[in-house]
Order: sequence, then structure tokens, then C-alpha cells
Amino acid sequence: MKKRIAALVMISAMAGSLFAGCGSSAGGETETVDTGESSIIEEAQVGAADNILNFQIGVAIDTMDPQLANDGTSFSLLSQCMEGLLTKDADGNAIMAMASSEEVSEDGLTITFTLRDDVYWTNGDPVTADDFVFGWQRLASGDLASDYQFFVETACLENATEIMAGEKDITELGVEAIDDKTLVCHLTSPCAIFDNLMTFPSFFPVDRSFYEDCGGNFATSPETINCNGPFVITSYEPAAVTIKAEKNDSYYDVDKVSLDGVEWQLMLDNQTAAMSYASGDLDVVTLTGDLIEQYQDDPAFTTVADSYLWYLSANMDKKGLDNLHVRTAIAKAINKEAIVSSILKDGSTVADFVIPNGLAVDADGKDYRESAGISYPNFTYDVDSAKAEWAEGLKELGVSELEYDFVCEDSETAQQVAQFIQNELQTNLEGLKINLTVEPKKARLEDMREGNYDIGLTRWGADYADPMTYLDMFITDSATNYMNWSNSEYDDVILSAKYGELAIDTAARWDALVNLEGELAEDTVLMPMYHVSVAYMINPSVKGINFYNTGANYSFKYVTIQ
Amino acid sequence: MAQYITKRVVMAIVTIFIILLMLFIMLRFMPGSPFNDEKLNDTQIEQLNEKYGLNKPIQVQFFNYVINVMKGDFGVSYSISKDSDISVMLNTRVKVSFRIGGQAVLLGAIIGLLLGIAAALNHNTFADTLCTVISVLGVSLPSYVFGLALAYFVGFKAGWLPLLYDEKQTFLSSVMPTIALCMFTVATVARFTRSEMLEVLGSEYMLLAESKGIYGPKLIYRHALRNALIPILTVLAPLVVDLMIGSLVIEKIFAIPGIGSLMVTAIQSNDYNVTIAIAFIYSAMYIFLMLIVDILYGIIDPRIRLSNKE
Repeated sequence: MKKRIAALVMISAMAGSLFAGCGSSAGGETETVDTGESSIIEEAQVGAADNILNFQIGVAIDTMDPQLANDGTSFSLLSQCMEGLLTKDADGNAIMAMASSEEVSEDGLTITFTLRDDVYWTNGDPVTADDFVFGWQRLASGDLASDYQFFVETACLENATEIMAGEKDITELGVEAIDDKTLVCHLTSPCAIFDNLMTFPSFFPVDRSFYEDCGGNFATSPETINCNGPFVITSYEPAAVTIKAEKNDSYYDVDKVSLDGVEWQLMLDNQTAAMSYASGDLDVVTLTGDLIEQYQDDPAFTTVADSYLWYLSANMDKKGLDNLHVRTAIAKAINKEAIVSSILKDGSTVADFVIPNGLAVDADGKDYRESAGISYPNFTYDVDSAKAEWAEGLKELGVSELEYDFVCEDSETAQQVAQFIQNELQTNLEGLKINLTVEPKKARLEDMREGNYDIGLTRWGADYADPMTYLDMFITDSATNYMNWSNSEYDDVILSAKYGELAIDTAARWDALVNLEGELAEDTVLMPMYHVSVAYMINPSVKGINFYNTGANYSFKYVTIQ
Repeated sequence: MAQYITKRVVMAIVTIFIILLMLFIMLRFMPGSPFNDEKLNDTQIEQLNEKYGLNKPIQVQFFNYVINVMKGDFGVSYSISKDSDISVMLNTRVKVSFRIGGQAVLLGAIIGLLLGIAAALNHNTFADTLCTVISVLGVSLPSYVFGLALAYFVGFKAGWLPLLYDEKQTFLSSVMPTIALCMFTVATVARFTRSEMLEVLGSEYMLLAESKGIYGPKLIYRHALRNALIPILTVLAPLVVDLMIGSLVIEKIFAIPGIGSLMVTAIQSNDYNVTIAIAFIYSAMYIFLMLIVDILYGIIDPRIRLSNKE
């Protein structure tokens, strides 16, 4: 009898959940998080009551090894737990962190940092100059093969190029520890972005003796992660879903840290993320697609500009795409406003230029876009002009129609954008046929890299706060010059701005960089589509998150929960 | 019996080896490489291939790989979690997936059996119809519908159970995923149990048993259910593997650190070692369960064992 009652209870529970299921599916998928008339804020139980910030991440952490890390999510986590010589203030300017002073020689080739006396790793070891030498040598090492190995060259460190080519040993890298607290960097030429690079996780120190004690398990568990930043990792494993950190009491600036801890929650499903936000389980979540439309009027809805540019790359080795008029026609025939306002809806902005707004400022603090203007005719949507360019291009080529394969990756957004672009091009440019192919990202990148494509939708994110992070993509033989464009004058200016005469003259360098973007536009080397923004819901009781568009995406050091 | 089991075990090992070989070759033919990344230049890609031995001939790679797997070393991840030991990555995840999957199988099988028996015993009544409706819904509605509905009504609106997987309350936070996952099993098992039971109940030996004076639960358990069990076991085995290996959608909805989502990420990012390791676990489990089922057949029904001997 008991069994029968138990069975009945279970059956009715099942039936209940079944009907609940039907109701939900009939109501449409997105309505599961519809909170009706009341604002989600009123329903949000004020989470974070325990003074712990709960933050959603949409991508798993690659690694907690500062030199191996290569994506924004990993950089962001690392930056909450570790610090380099310098760090960023609320506006993204480099300020002293592990270093207490920085002295640059007159010729700009020697930079001496003095480290603070009161900086320690969580295992009790003091942070020493040698830790930086060790970290940077790891970064340069071919054995580690870090994605950001090129940074030692970007920072103009002596012998970086030779080490990367395998001609010299990593011990010859231009960085030396004079004593425990004095670090000297030897540069091959003055480096305009050196300070900015020093805030980047790739240049974080690594405690040499701790690393050796880890015996190959470095940065794979809380026990093998040594922190010197505002927070210390208490729960982590490779490919973790939940990562926890608490306030680091041995951090030199611990008085400014108000949070008791941070928990990162990997949530791939944005609908449950939104529900978790509303129930107070998460304080900050990312919104995409339909959810943005649903929440965009909410006071907690925030968009933050990122530094990613999505653009079309046209393979100039293919017939027709080597023609400037054809490329310009393609660039001008796409209604980018419709992409950002109807497809993305997350605050992303139309890109009529290459370098994103708010990425870099000149010596006087003026934004690059103020110097370079905010649009180039070849990059601006104008159907009539596109048609004229198209006709001119076809005439020069002596053909009446062209057909191209157009490759995009398999993410939902990329596919929607690509379908829209395909439609725009075929509608506005008569005689153009576009065949859309969807590939996994890795396959798309391989095809584009090997020149095995006609037109591709791709993206680039800034690595550091300088226009160079975009502009040097287009030099001849660059791995990211998918379009196979080549202009020796352009190459020369880039080289000079990096390591030559222009590197020394800040103002002239800046002007030169502004001209370079102009050249890219004049030759329609790429077709910029949009600059990415990220849409967040941030619990109104959480204040003081600083968002950045290079390196780490945010800082929680000054966050308070009211 | 010993010979029967040995033969099955040898076949299982050979099958696993062949699967490993096929996986290895197929993955290498997948477009793209783990190191296709905007930021990497050709020299770096070469360095990485060198570092992980991917520039060696494929037969050498395979040989090394098999030797390592026999030592229990699945290698390191190339891109998902750089240089991390795969055994470490899988360790906690496998436990979570196995536990939730195991719970779902158990719950699903029990409810399914009860529903199926109830329906068969009350053939052509309201209970039978209800059971059929549940079976049809359970088979045709995808688990994410149940998952989302449970998350919304039970986790979010009512707040009875944690919305997200929480390692501090592993049981409570596994209740909703377990229910969402078990629906398909419930439906499948109920359907099979019902039809098998109906067939058995109508057979002559049941009439004989009844005429011998056996009745009630004893009759059902000893004579009807045992005979109906063989086909049910056959459908249950693959379901067990499916559930244990973790469900991508359910893991996504409840933020469960299982292996289903890891597998998908691994395939997308061409992380060969992780993909092979998970696929290997999947196949090994499947083969192991099939082996168990084969042996169970022999135990439940001696005729199978005997015919095999001939």
C-alpha cells in the first residue's frame, strides 16, 4: 500500500511538471523570464547581502597562468588576484601598483622601477624584482609558446625579436633585477605604450620558487595560484564552472577593498542567468538577443563599450576583389545602423572607422577619434554611391556579374549579421551573388589565414590602448592580414612608429598613426561593420565596478555593496 | 559461463581499441587546428605543434597516445584549459555528471516501471490513458523544456530549490536537473514495460501460474516482470550512458559543472585530447554496460547462455 501511495505521489508530481512544461513552451521560450508589469529591480531580492559579488561569466576560464592567458575572461580574473608593476585607475590610466616609482632615462631606452617594500605573495614571499624577470622570461619563452609572446617585442625589450626567433636564450631578454626591489628594463627604442603594457596580465610577476615547487601544476588549483592582488583565489580547477575568491589581507592596498569576496559563475544560458539575476543569486549578468529587448528599459541595464571591431575582409588575391571600386561598393552598400539597432541591440555602434572610440588618447589626453574624425567616405553607408562604385568597378573589370563565397563563424549573432550582409549586398549591388558558408570559428580562421576564402566576417580586439594594436595588423606578411594587402610605405611607417624615428617623437607618431587609418580607408583595405558593446544587468546596490576595453575587462577593487 | 564472459570481455577491449583509433584519425581530419587563433602567428603555431608533438607522423602520435592512455594519462588540454591535465579536468566533472545521471536513471527507471506496470494492470482504463499521455509527452518534449519550466516555476517563482548548481548543497541543487533528465527515461521505460507486461500477462504460463494459486504482487514480480525485463534492460542500457555522460542543455540551464558542456566546447575548439578523452569514456562506458547487459541476459535467461555455447 505504501508503495502505491508513493507511486501516486510521484505520478502526480510528474504530471504537474509536465503541464508546467506545456504552459511554458506554449508561451514562447523568452517568456520564461517575463516578470510581468513590475520591474525586475523591484523583484530582485537584494543579493550580495553577504558582501560578496556574484558575477556571471559566459566563457570558461582558459587558464590562471598570467603568461599563458589569452582571452578577456582569463585576463579579468587574473587582474583581480594579481598585479603587475602598474595597474589602471578608474579612467584606465596606468598608475603605480607593485612599483612605487618609475624612472625613464633621457633617451627613453632604460626604465627603472623601484618596487614597494610592503608587497607580498599570499604564501608570504615578498614580491621581488626577480619575480618580474622570471615572469617576463616565461612570456618570451618558445617552450611556453604563449599567444602573447609578441608582447615582449611590442614592449621593445632588448633581444625580444632574437629570442622569439630562437636565436637567443630567454635569459638575454632586456630585463634585469639589480636587487630585490630594483627592476631595470632595457629597450631597443622608446616605447610609447610601455606603461599601458605593464598593466597587462602577461607582464605580471611569477614567484620563481613557488612556481618550481608546483612541479608542473602551476596555476591549476587554489594551492598552486599565488596571488599579490586585491583578492585571493579560494576555489578553482581547470575549466571550472564556479570560481571563488576572497579579500587578500596581505594586499598592500587592502584598506581600499570593501568586498569580502567575489564569485564567478560560468553560465552559458542567458535565460537562466537573467532568472538568477532576478532572484538575487547573481549581481551582474550579461544579456544577449531577445533578453536585451526585454530589459533595456530597466534602470539596471547598462551597456559598456568593448574594443572589438567586426569587419569584412576581402581576399585581394581573388578576381574583382583586387579592384578598389568593387571593395568600396561592398563597404558602402551595407546598412550598418540596421545591424546594430535590429540585430545586436546591445549598444554596439556603427563602425565608419577602424580604431574604436575611447581606446587611446594622445599626450594631451585627446581621444584618437577626435584627432582622426569619425567617418571616412569609403566606410560610410550610402547606397547610391555604392551603386556608382559598383558600376565603375564592373566596367573596369569588363564583367557584368561577380560571385563570391562569404564565410562566417557558427555563432548565432555572426550568422544573423552575415545573412543580413548577404542580403544587403545582393539587393544593392546588381549582379553580385554571395554564397554564405558557415564554419566553426577555428576552421574559418584557418581558411582565412591560408587565403582559402573570398570574403569573410571576422573581428579583432585591442590588446593595448594604442591605435597600433589595430594598425599593425595590415602590414605585409602579418598573420592577420587576411586580405593580402601590401603597401610598403604603410609598412615603413608602422616600423618607424614602433622602433624607429617616430617612436621617439610622440606627436609626430600620433599624426602618422592618424594618417595610416586614413590610408586604410582610402584603399578600402577592410570594411568595418560595428564596434562591440556588452549589455549588462548590474544590481543597483553594487557600485564602483570599473570597466576597461583592453586587457582585463573590469576591476572589482573599489566595488562596494550597499 | 566463464567462457562466455571471457569472449565478451575480449571483444569489448578490441572494440575500444578500434574506437580509439577511429576517433584519433577522424579528429585529425577535422577542419582547423586547436591553434587557429587571431593572435597567433605562423611561428607560434609551429612552436605549439612542436610543444605538443602534433608535428610528428600520425602513427607515431597514435602509438604514443595509446601507450599514455594505458598508463591512465589522457594528456593535457591544448586550448580549453591550457596545459591542464585532462584527468584533473575530468575528475570532478565526471563525478557530478555520473551522480546526476545516475539519479536520473534510477528515478526514471523506477517511475517508468511503476507507471508501465500500473498501466498494464489497468489496461484500457483512465490510468492506462494517463500513462500513455505521459509517455508520449516525455518522449516528444525535449528535456530543456522541462528544465526551463522547473527552473522558472520551482527555482525562480517558488524559490523551493536552488536555481543554479551549488556544490554546497549538491543534493538539493541536483533535484531539478535529475527530474528534467529522467523524463525521457520515464516515458521510454513506461512504454516498454506496458507493452511487454501486456504481452506476458496474456501468455499461457501466467494462466498456469494463476491456476497454481499464485496471485498478487508475487505473481507480478516473479512471473510477469522477470520475463518482461529483458527488452527493458536493452533499452535502458544506452539511456544509462546518455544520462551519465551529462546533458549539454541541462548543464547549461542549471550551470552544472558536468562533462556534457565540456565535450561540446572541446569539439568546437578542436581540443583533440579533451575530445578523445570524453569520447573514450563514453564508448568505454557504453561497451562496459553492454557487457553487463550481455552477462545479465545470460543470468536472467539461461537460453541465451546455452545457445551461445553451441
